[in-house]
Amino acid sequence: MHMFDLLLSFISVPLSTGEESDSAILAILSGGPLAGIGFYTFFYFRYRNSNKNHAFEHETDIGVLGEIGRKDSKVGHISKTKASSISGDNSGSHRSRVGRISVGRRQNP
Amino acid sequence: MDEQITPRTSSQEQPIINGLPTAEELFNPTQTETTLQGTEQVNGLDKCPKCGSAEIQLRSSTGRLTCQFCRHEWEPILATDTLNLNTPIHELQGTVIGSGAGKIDREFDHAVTLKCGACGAEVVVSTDTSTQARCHWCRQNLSINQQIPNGAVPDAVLPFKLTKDEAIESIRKFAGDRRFFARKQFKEEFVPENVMGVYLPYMVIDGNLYGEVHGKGEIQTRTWTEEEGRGDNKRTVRYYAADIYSVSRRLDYTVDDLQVEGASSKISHKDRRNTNNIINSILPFDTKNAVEFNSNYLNGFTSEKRDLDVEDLKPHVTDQFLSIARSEVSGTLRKFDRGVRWEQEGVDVKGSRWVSMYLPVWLYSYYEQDKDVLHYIAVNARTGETMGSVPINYPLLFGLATLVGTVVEIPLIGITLATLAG
Repeated sequence: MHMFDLLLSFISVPLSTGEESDSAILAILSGGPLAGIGFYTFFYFRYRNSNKNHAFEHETDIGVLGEIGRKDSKVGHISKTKASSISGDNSGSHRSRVGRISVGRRQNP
Repeated sequence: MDEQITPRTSSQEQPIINGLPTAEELFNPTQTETTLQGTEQVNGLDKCPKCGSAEIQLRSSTGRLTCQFCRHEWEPILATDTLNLNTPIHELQGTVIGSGAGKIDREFDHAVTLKCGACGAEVVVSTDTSTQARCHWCRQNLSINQQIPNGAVPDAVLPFKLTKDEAIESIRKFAGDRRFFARKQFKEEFVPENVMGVYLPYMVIDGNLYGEVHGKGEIQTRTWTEEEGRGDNKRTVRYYAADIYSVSRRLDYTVDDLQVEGASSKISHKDRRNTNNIINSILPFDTKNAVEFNSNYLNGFTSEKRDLDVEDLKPHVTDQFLSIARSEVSGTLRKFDRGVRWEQEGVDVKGSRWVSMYLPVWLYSYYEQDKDVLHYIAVNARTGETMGSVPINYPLLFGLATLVGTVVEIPLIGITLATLAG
């Protein structure tokens, strides 16, 4: 089968009804601009490397003494939400600072 | 994390933010500061132990100092031994500072006068860029090896290992791989042979720490779809149900040889006119192999003086300690499949050890005049890791990106029209 026909067969299904077909058309037509932006971004960072810096969290020798203390307690329930993830997830953004608290002084375990 | 860090003047106090402990207070205030002293060194004529010549230079291939006169080589003295850096980090208490990492006296004259041990002449050494000078009368090489309170003499130095030729090759390859979209002017003016061997000042920090993080996490309990709207507006919407948890993590941890820039001109990555992040990205260095400071290691290279104190760096380092704690606990969060939002964090620095070091970098710089941007291509002179910023020919990149977008778009328009017609 020709590539064009193959693509056509894939997208003809989502184009079947009203609003869905409008959004499907928009999604397909955004392919060109997205490819252009992706091309530009890829080469910008490949040349300028402005997103690079020392990953000290992983590249420094870290030792955890004993077990990491965990305390997880259920405090509520969301019965219905459209959001697929927690609002303000920063578990992967180790360098984004949050409210600073004073912690007690401890002896090593 | 990326705030502008400038050296503090004596009248400046640590700011108090929202009544929370300052970085200064987080570094265990109940413990006194102690100073690490290396072996006693001498200024002036630093002679070859075999023939007495002061013509001494680093031999990169062996990492040893070599007498240029009799070719005698001798073993370097590791800084870990002389500064006693081998004591366990988890036993550190209070703030321990190397004598070369001490407070900088801003009033101290950068020009240091040495008396030549051979002819008695007085020779001035400008410590801004060097700790050596040649006696203008007898041509002997004079060195500053003793600590002076202006940041010019660190506790330790990590000697250059990569030769200039190897650095040139790395830089040529790095730029060569990025020729196509590089600015024409850059390509014409690119001379990797102009690379400079520079010793940059760093603080190398060990920490004995306790950290806490608190926040909320969510675990999905159910997901389903519902049909919404009528007629042409009918659509399928996905919904989720989840349990909310209060999440806390506590850990005792140690950080070994965290490396932080000791020069205010290099620590900030915010200024778009320079590319300091490039120099930062070639970290880390194998600082365990650093040797006791000796000016002869700097012979043939330039150096930049440290101008940031331990006190200047404490807020920056505290942020890095917190980031490390957050990174370490991230592996314990897998059950929270909808993610975790940290809301509070804190660190107790039970003990820390600060040592100042010169670390070796091969640095190629290019100033893009019309954009006022200083581009670096930097090579870690120990590991060979190379990173750089190459000025871009933006019209060419933009033009080709537009072309790519158009080439992709044309068949997509064709498909859409064909589908609508069909």
